[in-house]
Amino acid sequence: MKIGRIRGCRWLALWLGMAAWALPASGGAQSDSPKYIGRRLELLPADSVSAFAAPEEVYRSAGWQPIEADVPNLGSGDQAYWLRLTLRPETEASQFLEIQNATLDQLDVYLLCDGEVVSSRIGLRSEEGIGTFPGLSIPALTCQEQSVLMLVASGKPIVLPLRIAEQRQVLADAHQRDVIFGAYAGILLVMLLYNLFLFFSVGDRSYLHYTLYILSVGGAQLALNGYGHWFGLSHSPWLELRQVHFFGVFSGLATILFARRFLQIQTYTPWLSTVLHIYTGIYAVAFLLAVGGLFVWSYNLITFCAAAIFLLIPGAVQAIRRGYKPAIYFLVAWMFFIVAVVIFVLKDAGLVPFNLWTYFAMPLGNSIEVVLLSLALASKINELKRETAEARELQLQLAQRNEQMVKDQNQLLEARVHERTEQLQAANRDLNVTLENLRAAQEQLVQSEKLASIGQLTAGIAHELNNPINFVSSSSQSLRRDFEDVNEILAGLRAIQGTPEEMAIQLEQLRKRMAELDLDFTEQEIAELLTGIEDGAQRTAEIVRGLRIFSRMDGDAFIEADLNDLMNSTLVILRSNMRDRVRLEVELAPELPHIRCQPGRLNQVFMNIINNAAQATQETSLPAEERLVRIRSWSERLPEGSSVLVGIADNGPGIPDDIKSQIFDPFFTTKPVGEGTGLGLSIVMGILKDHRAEVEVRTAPGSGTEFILRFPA
Amino acid sequence: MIHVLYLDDEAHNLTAFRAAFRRSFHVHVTTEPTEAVQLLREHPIEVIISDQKMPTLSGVEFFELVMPDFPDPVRMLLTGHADIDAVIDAINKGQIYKYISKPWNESELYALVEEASAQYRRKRELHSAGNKLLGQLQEARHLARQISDALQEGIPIDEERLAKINQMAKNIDALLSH
Repeated sequence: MKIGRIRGCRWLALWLGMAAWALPASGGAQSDSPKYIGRRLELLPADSVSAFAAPEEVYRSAGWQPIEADVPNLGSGDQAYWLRLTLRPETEASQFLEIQNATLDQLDVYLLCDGEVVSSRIGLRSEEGIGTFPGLSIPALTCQEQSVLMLVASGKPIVLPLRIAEQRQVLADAHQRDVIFGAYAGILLVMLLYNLFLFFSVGDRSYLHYTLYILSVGGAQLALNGYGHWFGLSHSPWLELRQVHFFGVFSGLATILFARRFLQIQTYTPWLSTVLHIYTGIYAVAFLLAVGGLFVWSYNLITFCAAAIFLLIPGAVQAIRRGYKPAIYFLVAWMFFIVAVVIFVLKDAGLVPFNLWTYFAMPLGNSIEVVLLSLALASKINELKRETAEARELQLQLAQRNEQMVKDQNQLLEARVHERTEQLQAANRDLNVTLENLRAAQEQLVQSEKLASIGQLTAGIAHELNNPINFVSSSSQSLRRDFEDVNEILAGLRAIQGTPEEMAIQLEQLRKRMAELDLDFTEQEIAELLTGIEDGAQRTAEIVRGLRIFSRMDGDAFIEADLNDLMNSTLVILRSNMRDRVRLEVELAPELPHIRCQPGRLNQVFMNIINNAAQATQETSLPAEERLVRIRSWSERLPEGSSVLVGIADNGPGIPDDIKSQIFDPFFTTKPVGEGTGLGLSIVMGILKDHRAEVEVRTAPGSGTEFILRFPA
Repeated sequence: MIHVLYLDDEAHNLTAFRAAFRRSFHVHVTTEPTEAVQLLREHPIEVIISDQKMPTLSGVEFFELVMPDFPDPVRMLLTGHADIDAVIDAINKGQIYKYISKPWNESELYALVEEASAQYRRKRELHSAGNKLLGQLQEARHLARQISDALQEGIPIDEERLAKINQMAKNIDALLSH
């Protein structure tokens, strides 16, 4: 029994590090462990015999060396070893040789009688082993020397606790082992299902991790103790070869996973987290090595990583110190496990008595640990619940406080917004008033500019009309007087009567009177006066016609019109104003296409530009008759459409470059303050824009200015 | 009859003016300022009427032009357009006597010309009286010098001369009191 436990300890001992697992091999052999028969074994070094040598040849080999340990530990060499055991037929016949190692990869057993093989058991499971361990019933043979040859190989360290006992005894021990491990497996299964159930109902992944932990740690224990077939692993030789490695890797990873979550290592012991990351990486390597068949390396790595179990203790302590309560459960549970391991090792070392408790300390400790950790997890539920409730309460309070704050803020903001809105509205109202005022002012200025234009128009018309009215009215009076003279003579002629002598005298008197009245001159004068009256009437009619074109001065209606007519009408009005100031040269094209326009507004345009031109000429030192304003009109036919052009040129000083760009700006004027609004050309621009007309200003200082207006026809 | 000169660039106005006033005045009309100057030279013009707005020079400019040579004729400005600045300027400088706006009223214009003519004649009379006075003053001064010379040389003054001086003093007195 005691011997059987040594391999259970193996895994845990490996967890304690290389030194721990070496313990039973080197110093574990104590005097009161007679059941282990390691000292009766002999080992044949690997290089002493060919790998393919026959058992008899091996048996006769000269290189056999005795083993100085009750439990031989051949280490992990990834090679096969030959072992020789010389039996004592007188006492051991019909007894049972048990090899208490369930994790050997290869075990070939040959029974020799006087150096000849009498039976052989090739393969691990070919033996009628009792329980989980392979073994061999020792037959009662009559030979001088009866011995057993064993060829063992394993990817794990080869530890060989061998005993020879009554079959009944072996059977009883195996039974006991089965019961205890069955109970152990039962406890683990209950815990596993319980935690799995918790995982599905609570959803906390701790339980899943713990489930995995139980599964893998329990699995490792069972596999190490020869119960791997419970998992059905014996069906696959590939898996069976690697079961210990895989369970080792998985239990290590599950432990790390579980501890990480349970101890909240990330939060409380970040240093440990980093270390565990490294271990995880090493486990991954070990796994890959196992898959690849490098069992020894894999096993050594797993063993090395098992030391992490100790690191969890300072980690748990630190977590407790930092106020993490559940870590206490962990520590206590873990301590049970470690104590179990220690007891087990001490038992194997002979430092504590060998009995049932010490023998099964491992599964017992593990079971207690599993149960305790389950309780810890269960309490963690409560803890979690409490924390969740607290957190929820806190959140609620926070939310309420936030809500209150938000409410306060909202009120404050609302008040602010209200205040600002009112300010803005007030500002807006002020701006609107200002805008209204500006608009009114602008309207007034535009209106005054228009009125100025109308004023000029009416003044011009008045003057133009004055002359014809003057001479027509005056002439008509004179005409009446002239006709009175003529009538007087006519009356005289009508009155002539009597004898021819008398008539001759009367006629002579009339002739004298005619001479007196200078009737010849009167006749001529009458013709002149009539011409004048006719001319006056015609001119008046012309002016009135011109006026009719401008009768829409205020209307915005577009009509089809001839630009020449408009220009002539404008000129009729302007000419009288210009007469004493400037010479007007007019060259209007005979035929122009009509354009859609607002005649009244175009008159304003022409008047404005021509007036500017006339004023420009007056800024020169030229005598009046050399001051020139030239007005032309012509049409152009271009692919993109024809246009009518009007050019107004003067021989004034020209526009300096620095103000050329400003002349169309509102309120820009070169006239002294009070003499111009500065709106003239800006209004002109507005009107021309309404006509979709383009303006070109050709000017250079000293050589006059020409405005060219291009109207789309 | 009064000699009136009318200058206007509008020929029809000239015709109408002449037709209206040829029975009352000696009317001289022209559209050309140079011809107007010629007419001033050739005729004893008493009243000059000129249109203000003309293509080559304005009425006021024309008056300024002829003032040095012909200061006496009374000048009247005729215009259809109230160029008020020019009118004010002209009146202030004493260049024109009256301002007439078109269309003219014939009888008013007639009266104005008559009035202007009277003005001219008064001026003329004043002018001739002044000349006469000046002549007599010189003569008196001459006599007075002779007397003073005679007295210095101790020559006795005869009755005849004294009577002559007295007569002159009386004349001057009469002229001045006129």
